[in-house]
Amino acid sequence: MKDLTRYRNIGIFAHVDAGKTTTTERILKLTGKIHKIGEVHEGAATTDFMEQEQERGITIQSAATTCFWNDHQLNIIDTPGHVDFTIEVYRSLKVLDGGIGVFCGSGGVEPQSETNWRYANDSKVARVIYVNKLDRTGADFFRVVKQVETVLAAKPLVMVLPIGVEEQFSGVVDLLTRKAWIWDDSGDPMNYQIKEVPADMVDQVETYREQLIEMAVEQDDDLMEKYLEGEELEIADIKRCIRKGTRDMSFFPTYCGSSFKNKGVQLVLDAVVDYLPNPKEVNPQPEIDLEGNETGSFAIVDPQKPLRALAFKIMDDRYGALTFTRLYSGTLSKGDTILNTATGKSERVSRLVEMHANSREEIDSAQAGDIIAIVGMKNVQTGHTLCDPKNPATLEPMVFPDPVISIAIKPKTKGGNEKMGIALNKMVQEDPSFHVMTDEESGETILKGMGELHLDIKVDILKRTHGVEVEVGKPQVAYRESITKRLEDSYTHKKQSGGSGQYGKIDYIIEPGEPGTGFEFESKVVGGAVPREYWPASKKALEPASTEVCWQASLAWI
Amino acid sequence: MDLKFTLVGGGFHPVDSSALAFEIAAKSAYRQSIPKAGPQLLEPIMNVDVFTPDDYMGDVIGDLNRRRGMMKSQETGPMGARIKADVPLSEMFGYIGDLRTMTSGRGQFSMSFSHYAPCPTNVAEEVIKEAKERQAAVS
Ligand SMILES: Nc1nc2c(ncn2[C@@H]2O[C@H](COP(=O)(O)OP(=O)(O)O)[C@@H](O)[C@H]2O)c(=O)[nH]1
Repeated sequence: MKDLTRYRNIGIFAHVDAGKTTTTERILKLTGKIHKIGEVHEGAATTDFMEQEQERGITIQSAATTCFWNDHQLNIIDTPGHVDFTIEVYRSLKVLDGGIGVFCGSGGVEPQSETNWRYANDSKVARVIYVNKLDRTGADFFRVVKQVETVLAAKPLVMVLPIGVEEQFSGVVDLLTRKAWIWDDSGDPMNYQIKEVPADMVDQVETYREQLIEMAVEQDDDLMEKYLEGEELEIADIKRCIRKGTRDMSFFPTYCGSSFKNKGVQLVLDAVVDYLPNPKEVNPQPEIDLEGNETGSFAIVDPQKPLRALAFKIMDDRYGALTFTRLYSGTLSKGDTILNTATGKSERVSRLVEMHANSREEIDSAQAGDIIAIVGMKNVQTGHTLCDPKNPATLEPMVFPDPVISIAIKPKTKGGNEKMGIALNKMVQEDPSFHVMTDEESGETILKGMGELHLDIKVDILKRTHGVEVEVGKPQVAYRESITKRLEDSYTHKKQSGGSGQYGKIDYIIEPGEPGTGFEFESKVVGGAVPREYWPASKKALEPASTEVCWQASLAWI
Repeated sequence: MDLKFTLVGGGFHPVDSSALAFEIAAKSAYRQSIPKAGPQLLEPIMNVDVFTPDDYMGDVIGDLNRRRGMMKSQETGPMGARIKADVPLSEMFGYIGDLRTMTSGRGQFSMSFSHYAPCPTNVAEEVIKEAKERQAAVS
């Protein structure tokens, strides 16, 4: 059994261009899993699985990558950077236990980073701060620290001071140990030396160190007393305080460096291990019923308890469908049968893998706290709970987000229709907020989604992943219709064409439903006027999915 | 869409009836009856959550009102003012650009779907007119 205290499930939060991709890559390189550094501008980043993300410079897919640092297992979850995908953002925040907030040393705190920061606050995710790009012209660590206070209304706990700035930036002073980490200009993160604090920084270091310790000991009255009496404190004790304050979000340990130049990243990794919570230290996930009401039970992080896991991302790679899953409690082994509470169906798990930066490792089992991928699952969507069939529970309510924007698409080539149909079918399975339908009048294929960008990305996936190029219409708001009056009516469908004909007659009442009840269908037919076997066909024809696009057809009403 | 459909009777033919025939009948029935049942156009309404420095709060609220927004709450905190409103999606195209301009680049917002609500008559007429034109262009 693995030691859960040596786990860190973390996300990296950043404004677009602050250096999330570069930092993630440096982390993976340092942790020994990537040997060659792929530069972002060449489009070789590791966590951005899909090309279109790199082209856009945004990350919308949450891949999880496992790596190791100081005998700790780090699972890095790629957080969506764009706020158009609120559900995905919240889901990825739920899956992780802590984070690194990356800010640009010259750009500072930007509007987009405020939004992400706020979401993370709402979800109570403890974070360390990393001010990146200190090598850039105009970089100023202290200005960004100030902005964290004024713009984000958060308390930065300054842990390091930069040595030199812009061109001259060469390393950092670790305030706790009073040691200077100085890198040469080779770009190799391992080419550093630990030295004494530069003479001209000694006073500054003492001032900031004092400030650091004062803030830290507020977490512990006894230590505070000792400190006020002038005793020199043990570093281990101070670290314990920092750990506690970080978990409670009383403050955010703040570091700096240049990911690009490979300076300073090690200290951030040390901080992840030293200060961010392990899976047992965060509040356990509440269990709910399918409507989203809490049952009062929790998925306790314990491998001995019944299995509770959340599918948070589904991706296709060349080996098949991967279902990225966070285990909250229990153990999952190859060959186990698990229940999907959303579909009510059970499925056997044939293969489990752990995703590393550029390889995947087959594993036999996973346990509470782990983030792994299940290979080849059918019938699963993001947000579904997977659990022990003998002891079921649900972690996330079934939400059917209403798609509110639509676009019409048409394959550019004649033969593209079938290929497009197959591709769209797959994509709908991967993303419950994405809908596809056919306009019966025009024969056009209509894509519906949560926002313009959401659909843009689908069109890109069609092109890049499935090789289907399409012509795209202007985005339209998805209007609907309803009625205000009750009506009794009848319709006869009759078609006589040579041999076999078609005949069906229905008498019906159509009326407005109670608000929020959606579409309801009932049959009060008695005596076999319409045989029971035909009821489902009538019902299906009227379901919102099939009638939604009809409103254009019934425009006659104005 | 909150709509109830009750099947009360009908007829069938022992040879010519099929599930498909009843599917088509139901769809045609729907088209036939909707226009007679007091139809109404519904539009998606979004939960809009705006952050702005205090100084621009008045402008931001005025603008949301012009977009047919319904204010739900406003509060001021250390990070600035937070305004929550229900706004029709059709009024939110290009909002980020306008918000940035209004707030010297400092404003930000997020939105998510809230519910469907009836369109005011003048808006509905406009939408239908456009849809008809589009349809004419397709066929
Ligand atoms: N000067 C400098 N440039 C950096 C640094 N980190 C990243 N960059 C550059 O900033 C740009 C955006 O970085 P990227 O990692 O893609 O940011 P992301 O959008 O947050 O993932 C790229 O051109 C990087 O090469 C750094 O520490 N210093």
